[in-house]
Amino acid sequence: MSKFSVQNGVSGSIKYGDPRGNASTDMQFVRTAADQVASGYASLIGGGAQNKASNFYSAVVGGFGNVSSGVSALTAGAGNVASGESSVALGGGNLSSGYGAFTLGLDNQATADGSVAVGNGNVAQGVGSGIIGSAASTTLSTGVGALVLGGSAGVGYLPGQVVTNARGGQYSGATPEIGTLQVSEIILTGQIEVPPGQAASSIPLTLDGGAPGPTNQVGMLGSDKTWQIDIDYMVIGLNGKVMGGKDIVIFDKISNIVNYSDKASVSVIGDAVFKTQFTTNYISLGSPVDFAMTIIPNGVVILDPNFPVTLRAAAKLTIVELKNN
Amino acid sequence: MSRFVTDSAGDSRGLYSTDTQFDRLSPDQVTSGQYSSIFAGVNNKVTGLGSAVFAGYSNEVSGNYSYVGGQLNIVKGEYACLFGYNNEIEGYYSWMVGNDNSNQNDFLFGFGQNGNFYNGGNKNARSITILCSNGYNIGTPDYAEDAQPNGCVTMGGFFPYPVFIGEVVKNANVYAVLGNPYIPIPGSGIAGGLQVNTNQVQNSQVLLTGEKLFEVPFIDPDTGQIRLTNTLRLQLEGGINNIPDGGTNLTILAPEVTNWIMTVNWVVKELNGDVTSGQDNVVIGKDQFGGLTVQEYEHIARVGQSSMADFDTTYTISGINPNSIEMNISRTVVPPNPSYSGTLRAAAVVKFTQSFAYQG
Repeated sequence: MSKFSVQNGVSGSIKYGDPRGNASTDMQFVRTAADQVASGYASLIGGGAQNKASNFYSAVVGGFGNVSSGVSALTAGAGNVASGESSVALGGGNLSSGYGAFTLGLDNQATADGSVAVGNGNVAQGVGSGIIGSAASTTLSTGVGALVLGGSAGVGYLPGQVVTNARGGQYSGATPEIGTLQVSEIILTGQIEVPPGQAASSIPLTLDGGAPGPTNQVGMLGSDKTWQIDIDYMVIGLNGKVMGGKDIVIFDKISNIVNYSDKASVSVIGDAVFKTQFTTNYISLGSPVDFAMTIIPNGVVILDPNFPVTLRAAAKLTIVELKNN
Repeated sequence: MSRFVTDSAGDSRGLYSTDTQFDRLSPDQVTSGQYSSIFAGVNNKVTGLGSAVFAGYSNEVSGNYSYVGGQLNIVKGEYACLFGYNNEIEGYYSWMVGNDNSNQNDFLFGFGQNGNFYNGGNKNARSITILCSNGYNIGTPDYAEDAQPNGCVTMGGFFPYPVFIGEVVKNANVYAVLGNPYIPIPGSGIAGGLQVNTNQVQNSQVLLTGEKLFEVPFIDPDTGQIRLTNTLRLQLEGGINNIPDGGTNLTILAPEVTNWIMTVNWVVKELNGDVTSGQDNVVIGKDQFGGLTVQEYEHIARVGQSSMADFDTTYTISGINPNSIEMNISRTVVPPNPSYSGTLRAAAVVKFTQSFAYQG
């Protein structure tokens, strides 16, 4: 016997279901369609009713109305679908369609590869992104590796953005609107090479550390937002110099245009000379780049007359994001 | 055939259940729930609808559509999933991995061990996430305002203690205090530590909001000018859709002598108008007599439009609840005309660093 089924007397009827896959185990008694069986090779249905395990090594542990259609996918609970390869959907009404995606809770979706959605009504669309312990929150496809923790109707839309304290229903009544009120953190980086004897140029900071472009700089989600940003930055000269500072910045965007911004420098620390040689600048370049950060030399700064010097900068932005209409 | 049973002993099985367990101490350790399953192990019992025990020893599932693996676990909630040793879940849609945890909350997701969820009056808190924390507490029975820490998250550390909505707790820990022979390390009998069940040291973060329409102008008795006062009270979920206040006070729960450093980043926006923001540092203390005081606060930085420059922040202890911190953002302005009106919206992220301050 290459398969084990509790109902395999007359395959093809709804009562008995379609033929089971080779090496499969099917211990489900109740179905409303003939394909609600363990039809995949080496697949499993452990029990329950109206479940379907249709792909190689897929499994429905138990419960009701689950579909494990991805290779090595697993579901348990009620009404879950795991269609991505090696995906898992546990709870009720979840969809895991990305490769290795994981959902847990109620009515979550993890559609991107390696994404995680845990809680209630969350949708993870960014590759490797996660939503944990939240409700009605989202990571967009632009939010690769973003993480939303807690709260409701938060949105991770920038790479590596970590969102906390989201409350999307604050100004929209019964229907939450993502990203209307939340706190988040992102990191910006940049690096330049200063040839020997030449003056240092400005260091643009971007989401991936690369040359500034439309996709690796910061845009504010939505047309009407106010950002209050706490910026902790540091500049390292790979010749052993270091400086750091803290700025408070505000950006106000109305009708898709940043119409106002302001900055206060709170403190600067570091090497006695080095810390006086650089300052920060924050501007909007227009959609889609609402916020651009640059480290700027104070006048002509020659770091070494004989050797090249690499300047590397990083900044952590803590953003209070507030809908302003 | 409507059941699959490999051992005829024990009570009758539920309709459409699967029971491949052979050994049990009592006859009710079977799949008595409809659509339920026990795939292996000994002394397991499933009475819930559509629930399952994968394997293990002495697990009991009475909730519907729930799953468990491990030993000595009890699942009463629905759509719950539990792996580990000696855990209990009553909440719905909860998922836990670890040892010695108990949970009454819905939508909880937790990793960790040796945890105790002192739910008390907050057992209805939802969407809680415990990431690799040990010895955690969610709310307390005696929290005066019974605020439920919905959506709170703890990350790492020992004895994190979220009590506010959407609070994120990081780096929680219990420090040993050298030279203090009176307070033992919890459970160890070793002098030099701190008491259990207090949030001795932790970093956390909450979001406050406020919103209201401009108030009615009045005539300043000193100058005779028409003025109006804009005072925004910032609270947890405060000031939704022009309704002043309406939120929950930021109440400090501190059973012991404790200090807090608060870094507050705040922003005020006149809708379709100007904006300003700033950063403050606030020192809060609680003495051995239980009194809470704002010891000092200072304005660290300020940005924004000049028309909003007269906004100022204040921090006081609420007279209504002596454990509440009152944050207000206010100004007095001369309106451009008597019918001038608008809406102010404010938000502040408050980052706490909390430290037990006993000097025994």
